[in-house]
Amino acid sequence: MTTNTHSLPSGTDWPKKSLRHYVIGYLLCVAMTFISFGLVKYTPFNKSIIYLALAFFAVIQMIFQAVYFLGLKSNRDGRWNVLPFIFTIVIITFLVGGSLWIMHDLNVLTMGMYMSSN
Amino acid sequence: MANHSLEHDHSHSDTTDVFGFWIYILSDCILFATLFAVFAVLRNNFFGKPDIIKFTDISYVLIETMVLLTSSFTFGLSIISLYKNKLRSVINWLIVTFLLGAVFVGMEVSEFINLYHEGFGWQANAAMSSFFTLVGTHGLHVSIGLIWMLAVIYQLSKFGLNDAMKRRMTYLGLFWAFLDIIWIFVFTIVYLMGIL
Repeated sequence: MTTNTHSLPSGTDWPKKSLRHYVIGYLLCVAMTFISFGLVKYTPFNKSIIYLALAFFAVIQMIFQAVYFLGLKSNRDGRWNVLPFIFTIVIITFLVGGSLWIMHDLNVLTMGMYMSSN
Repeated sequence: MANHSLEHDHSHSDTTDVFGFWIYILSDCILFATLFAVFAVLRNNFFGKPDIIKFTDISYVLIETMVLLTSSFTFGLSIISLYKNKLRSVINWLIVTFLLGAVFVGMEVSEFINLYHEGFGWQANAAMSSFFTLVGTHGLHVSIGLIWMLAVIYQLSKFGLNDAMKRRMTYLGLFWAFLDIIWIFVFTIVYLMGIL
């Protein structure tokens, strides 16, 4: 009969995650979610600061979810996963950043005076 | 002896397979990035209609978010049971995950139906068009994940915890966690920044 070590997909090098690991990840993400929602609901600061804070917490929570729920790490096997992840971030930066930049410029050029909403 | 070398081959293909699935997930991220870019550009094109997203009930979105986040956690509990080789526990936590995911989809569909009936369907203006495409695509991914989850639950009860099932749980886990990550950006960019 197969032993425990052999019954895991042996190439993936996934250490056994403890309950503590998932609970910590979960609580961290819950906290960040509440912070983000709280920032919007109770707006003491001006909008630009809140936008930045929201973006910041979104990225941080993404990293926490990737680490705690996805198991993203930079060790032997994990390193293979991190590289395409970074590449994807680069592609997305060009794609989204570029689109926003182009559309903003088009707005400016076609409307003379840039109007941000109706 | 022959068995042992078979397992070595298996382990190489396992690493490659998971890596391959990971690359698929990343390509799906790029797909969502495109939809986000479109939403960012079109979100203020109201065509005369009011900005309905600004008046979204924030508690509703918070509940949706907590439901989905918790489902990611319960999937993790399922994985822990997987490592402990407790089949019944794996299935039970998968069922909990499924129910939470179903609640999420139900809430989202309900919101969509509501918007449509109030005159803010995807044909109302470019803003709603991009909203429904982005949020709807995410919801569609979740729904497909739920169907996949049912299939895995069925297969687990039929085949138990063999190597193939553990691989499949790995893929489903990646998919499910990725969906929650995308949702982080949906609720932040679409709802929170829209309500501000």
